[in-house]
Amino acid sequence: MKALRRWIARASGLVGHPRRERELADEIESHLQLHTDDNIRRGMTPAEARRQAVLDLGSTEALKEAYRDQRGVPFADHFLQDLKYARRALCRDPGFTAVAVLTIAFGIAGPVVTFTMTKAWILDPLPFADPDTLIDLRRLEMPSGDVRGLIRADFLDLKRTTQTVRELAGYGESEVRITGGDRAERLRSAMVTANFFDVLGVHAGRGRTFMSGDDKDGEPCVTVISDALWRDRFRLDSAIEGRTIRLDDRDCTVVGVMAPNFQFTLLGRVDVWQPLVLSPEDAVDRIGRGVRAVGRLAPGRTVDHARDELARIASDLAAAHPDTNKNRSVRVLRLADEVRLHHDMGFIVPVLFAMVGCVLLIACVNVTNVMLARASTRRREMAVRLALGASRRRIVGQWLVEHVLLFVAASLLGAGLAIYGAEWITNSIPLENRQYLRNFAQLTVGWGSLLFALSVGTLCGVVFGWIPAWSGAHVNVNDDLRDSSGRTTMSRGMARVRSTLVVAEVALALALLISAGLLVQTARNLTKIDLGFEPARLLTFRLALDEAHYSTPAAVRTFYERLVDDLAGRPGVTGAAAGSFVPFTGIDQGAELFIDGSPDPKPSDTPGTAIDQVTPSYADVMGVRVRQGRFLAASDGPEAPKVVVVNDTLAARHFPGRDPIGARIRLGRDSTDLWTIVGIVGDVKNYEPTDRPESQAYVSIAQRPRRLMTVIVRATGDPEALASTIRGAVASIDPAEPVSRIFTMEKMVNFVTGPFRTISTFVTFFGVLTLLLSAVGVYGVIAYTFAQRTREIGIRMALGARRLDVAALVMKQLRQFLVAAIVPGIALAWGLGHALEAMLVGVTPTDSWIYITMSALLAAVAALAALVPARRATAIDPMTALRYE
Amino acid sequence: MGDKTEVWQGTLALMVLKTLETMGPLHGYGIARRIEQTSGDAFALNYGTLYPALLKLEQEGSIASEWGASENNRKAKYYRLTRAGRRELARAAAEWQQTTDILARFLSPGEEGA
Repeated sequence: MKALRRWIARASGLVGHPRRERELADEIESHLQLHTDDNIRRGMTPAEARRQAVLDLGSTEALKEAYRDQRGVPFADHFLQDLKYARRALCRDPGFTAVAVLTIAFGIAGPVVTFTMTKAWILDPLPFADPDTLIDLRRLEMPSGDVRGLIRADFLDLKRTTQTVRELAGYGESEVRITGGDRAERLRSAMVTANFFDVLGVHAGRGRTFMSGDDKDGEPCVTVISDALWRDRFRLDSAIEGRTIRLDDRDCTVVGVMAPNFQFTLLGRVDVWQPLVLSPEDAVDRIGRGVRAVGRLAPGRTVDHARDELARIASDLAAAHPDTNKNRSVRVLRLADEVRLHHDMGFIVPVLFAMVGCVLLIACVNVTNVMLARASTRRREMAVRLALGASRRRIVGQWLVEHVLLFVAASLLGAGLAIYGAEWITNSIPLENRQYLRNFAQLTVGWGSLLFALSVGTLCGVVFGWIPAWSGAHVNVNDDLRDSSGRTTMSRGMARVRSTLVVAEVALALALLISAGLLVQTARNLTKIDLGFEPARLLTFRLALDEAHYSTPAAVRTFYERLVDDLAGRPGVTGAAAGSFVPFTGIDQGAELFIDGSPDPKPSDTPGTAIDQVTPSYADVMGVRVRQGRFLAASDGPEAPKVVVVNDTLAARHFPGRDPIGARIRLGRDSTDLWTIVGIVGDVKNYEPTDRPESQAYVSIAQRPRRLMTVIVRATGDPEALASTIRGAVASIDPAEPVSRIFTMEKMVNFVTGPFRTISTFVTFFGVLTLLLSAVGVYGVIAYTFAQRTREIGIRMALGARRLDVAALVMKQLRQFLVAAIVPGIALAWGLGHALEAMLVGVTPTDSWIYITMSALLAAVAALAALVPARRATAIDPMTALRYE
Repeated sequence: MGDKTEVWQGTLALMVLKTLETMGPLHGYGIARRIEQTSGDAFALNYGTLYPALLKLEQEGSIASEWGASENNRKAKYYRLTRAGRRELARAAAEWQQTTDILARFLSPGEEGA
């Protein structure tokens, strides 16, 4: 109780310092006066009386110190004192402080941005109820390991049979045309089973989501719209619930609006949610359409339980339907893991952290090196403090506090810089890609990031602060006080520490430079990869003709033929074509492939091929190369014999060693049409520049029309400028047809390679930063060493050393640094390179050319940094140097 | 002031409390002088240790202080015993008495043996 009261009083003693200090001084003064009065009464002279009183009281400073220790909490008190002193010490040299803070701030910004990214996209739980019990369920094709959506019949069987999954919902993406109101538009839609939102545990922002029964065949059409659509198209209409809108020429009732922040990243941006109707035909068609599935685990069940059970059901299905399901299984993942896979960030995060960690280390090492130099110039100050009775512990503490204060200031600034970094990251992600990222790729540097910055900063401050703190506290009081020259030297041990730090720094910089080199080379390779067509100056857009107006094949064909002719004749256009499967548009199309004259294989073994229904001008406009025979022609009309052009891969796979031209194929199991191969064209990359080649067949839309097409236009100049030309051309034929997704081909290729370039730029930025930082480090240490050796160099020169010999001395030290750094640097680069391997294209993680050029670059920059002290050393005048003390 | 006995650790607080009980409110210098006089100038009281001890007693709530004027009209900080201090004094004095009694019995020559 007594002790408690004392501590409360002590803690309160930490505040109100000045008043208490004054009061103590007053009390001491009053004591002295009283004592002096007494002494005078005893007959002393006033001066003697005062002197005696002061002597009797002893050291007032010691008294004050003892009193203060009793008054406050000594540790906290010292800390506050150190803090005040550190602030003063840092303010005394604002240039150094600013540079140091800025250096560390840049170093810390990298990890903070990476942390913010990781937190937002990987660590934060999905914004659904109890996200850990949500699973993602897909079809697994054996033995290829390809992962696709479930076949609907299988989905229904799994849903009915499973015990471990409480509820299974299906979803898929689609597009829908909205008409009525001021303009026709194509919207992104998602088809979901009625239980989809319940499985996720989310509610509508307004109105309701779907109810069971909404997805029954023949029910009136209902729809849930996105907040963005409600805002943009319906101008926040407060009577939106119950309003009827026209989707694909059907009347649909809007029953709800989702909340603004609702996002199911696996579907990207969705404007309209519609019930997915699973028909009785779907229930038995085991080679039919697909559906992706998300499930909620039954209480007490884990993902492993579900995985075992669903795999068992899948193998039961395979046994029951061997023709179709023999090679099918299921893949079960936690939904969060699937989202993570989708973000493609998992493997890059440790690599990024390693890299930004290197940058931070280098920044810390640089600042520590300068701090060490300061420690040596402040030896006398430390010696005086020690002589006056400061304990070594207090001195170490004071250095640490100074260091940590510096780092904390830098952390705050670093977190500020990270805001710009995060913005840069978001902006460098193409718009089209952002919708698939959590929060639409928005990154917030929030409290978590700030806390991260402060913890990293404090940790670095303490760790790196120890070195100068220790060396600062271990001065020799006698020697350092006696050294009246004011000249200060660094002990051998400290010089060695500094050299080691610089070597470490150069090694880290080398590793980062090599990694950056690998990534830059990959970026260059990516743009050089032959896509099989010419992406420059191509503009693409999508059309999906209205089923009611274009009900006959002839009508569809006529529309596209007229449009392509019209476009090709417009100014600024060199050619136009249409295709159902244009590379990088994200729409694909395929069919089972049967070779005429060979027996039909079982469904599970039937090969597939991509199908592209195109206008005859397609190969010319795209720049697809015709290898053999001819491409499709205008003469291949609806009545003419059906002809097909195949790509290199299809020809090589299915007609090995023979000429495929003249051979006939069937496309689709139920199709009886025989297509004669009339030509072979080169492969094109359909999804990514790094795609493996796939079979592909081209047929004319005259012989196989399709309403959903992508139109391509080759421009003479900037393709973006053709957007209004396109709209005009479409409107001149049918003003009711909305045009969607107008993108240049280059932009679409960039969507795919964008994330890669973001990372590559990020790493290159830090590579250059580390190069500069390590150059500064090298400069600092060499310059310091040679400033110390001024006398020695003077003697050497007096004894006949030439300037070149002196320069050689500098270079010798530089060479020592580089030689010591190169082995650990290359080892680290080797490790980083292998961690990056999955990202590299056309370059191996051990590409010797990059290792050599980057080492040479580093050596050159380091030499440049050493040149300044070298010049200074050779300019030494022997006479001055010898007198130099 | 050659070889006077140093005040033992822990007894200074008791002396301060007893002094304040006997003398009423008193300033630091007065307390110090009184302790020296009471001991017949046998103690060399280090004035420097007195003030932290006073602060400690004040923090514990045994004494309270306020500024006042001395007999010869000097400004001085006066300490007085609080009720808690009175209790503390009684407790500490009893404890000290007991300790000295026990020690006295140990040290008194051969009463029991005789």
